Amino acid sequence: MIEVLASILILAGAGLALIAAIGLQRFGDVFARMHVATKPASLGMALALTGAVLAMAGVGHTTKLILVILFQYLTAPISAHLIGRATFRAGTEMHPDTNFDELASRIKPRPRQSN
Amino acid sequence: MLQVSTTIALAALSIAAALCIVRMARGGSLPDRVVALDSLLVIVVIGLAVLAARTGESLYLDIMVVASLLGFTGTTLVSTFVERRGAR
Amino acid sequence: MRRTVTAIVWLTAIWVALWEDVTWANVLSGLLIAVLITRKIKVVPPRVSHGFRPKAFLVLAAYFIRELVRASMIIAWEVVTPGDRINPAVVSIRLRTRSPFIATTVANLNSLTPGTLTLELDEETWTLFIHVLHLESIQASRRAIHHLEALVMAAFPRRGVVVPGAEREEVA
Repeated sequence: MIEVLASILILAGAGLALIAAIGLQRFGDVFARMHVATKPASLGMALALTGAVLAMAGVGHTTKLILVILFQYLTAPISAHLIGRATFRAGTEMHPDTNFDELASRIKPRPRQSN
Repeated sequence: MLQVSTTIALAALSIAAALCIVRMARGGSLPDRVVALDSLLVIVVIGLAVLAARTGESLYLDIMVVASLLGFTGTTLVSTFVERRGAR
Repeated sequence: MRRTVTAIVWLTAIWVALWEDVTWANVLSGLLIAVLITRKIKVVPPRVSHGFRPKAFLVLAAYFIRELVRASMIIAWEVVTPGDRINPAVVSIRLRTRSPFIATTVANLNSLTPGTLTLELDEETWTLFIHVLHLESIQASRRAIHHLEALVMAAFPRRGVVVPGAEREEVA
């Protein structure tokens, strides 16, 4: 029974990771790719690692897997924010249909002239 | 049961990793490559956990911990670099 | 001082957990490394201290996990179905809180939820700039952030202040 549950969780996690990787190919601008790639992958990691916790007995193994899940959820927003801010400030091209509200369009950086 | 599901999972993860590498090579801009590298590391961590569950080998878990720690450090460094130099 | 001790205890606990074995050698080497780390890296004490309400925290956790799963499904569906319905936008939101801790938590939780990504937090005006993948309306995005902010403020109240909404006042 536990093995079935572990299998389902592992498969769901791998599936989400695959979807994230396909999203990397399918979307047009960096920001859309960030949305699609990093977050379903984090959820996939949480699912797959929970599956591994169920499949592997042992307190030591469980703490390690839980530590990695916690670390991922602690750092994923920080790195997403870092890349997002850097990209935004560097004035990377956005999807042409991107909407801006009043304040955002005022600080909207000019795209850098490519040389 | 676990053997079959981990085989399927590892196959899916291999395709996912290949797609990430394609995005890293094609790039577009530096942030694109960073995002692809980030996802690649998440996929590697998932793969190591699946391997550990499949074989019961705890060595994979140690490698997994190190990989997840290194991933964050790398992303932080490169995004500082992007912010200073601009995305190209 | 209390902060440093807590940090040392945590670091040692993690060290021992990674070794998967509680022995004197592990505990002592963990303690030594934890002391070295806390000596080298100074943790800046927060400007505003916060309490913790377990019940409100559970409400926040339930809301967050529901949003996480729901939005992940939406994005996964977006990827596997052909065509694209994305309507990206950059939206600015004036935060109500004046606590750096609350603002950071809101920004991070917002980044973790698929479909929204925190771009910037302007420290002078307490304005959050977010990137939205599927824009419904600017108002809806702002409402969602303000709801999240209210939940975080309820879970981590300003210590010693019980009146709701007291977080809105300026903090010197």
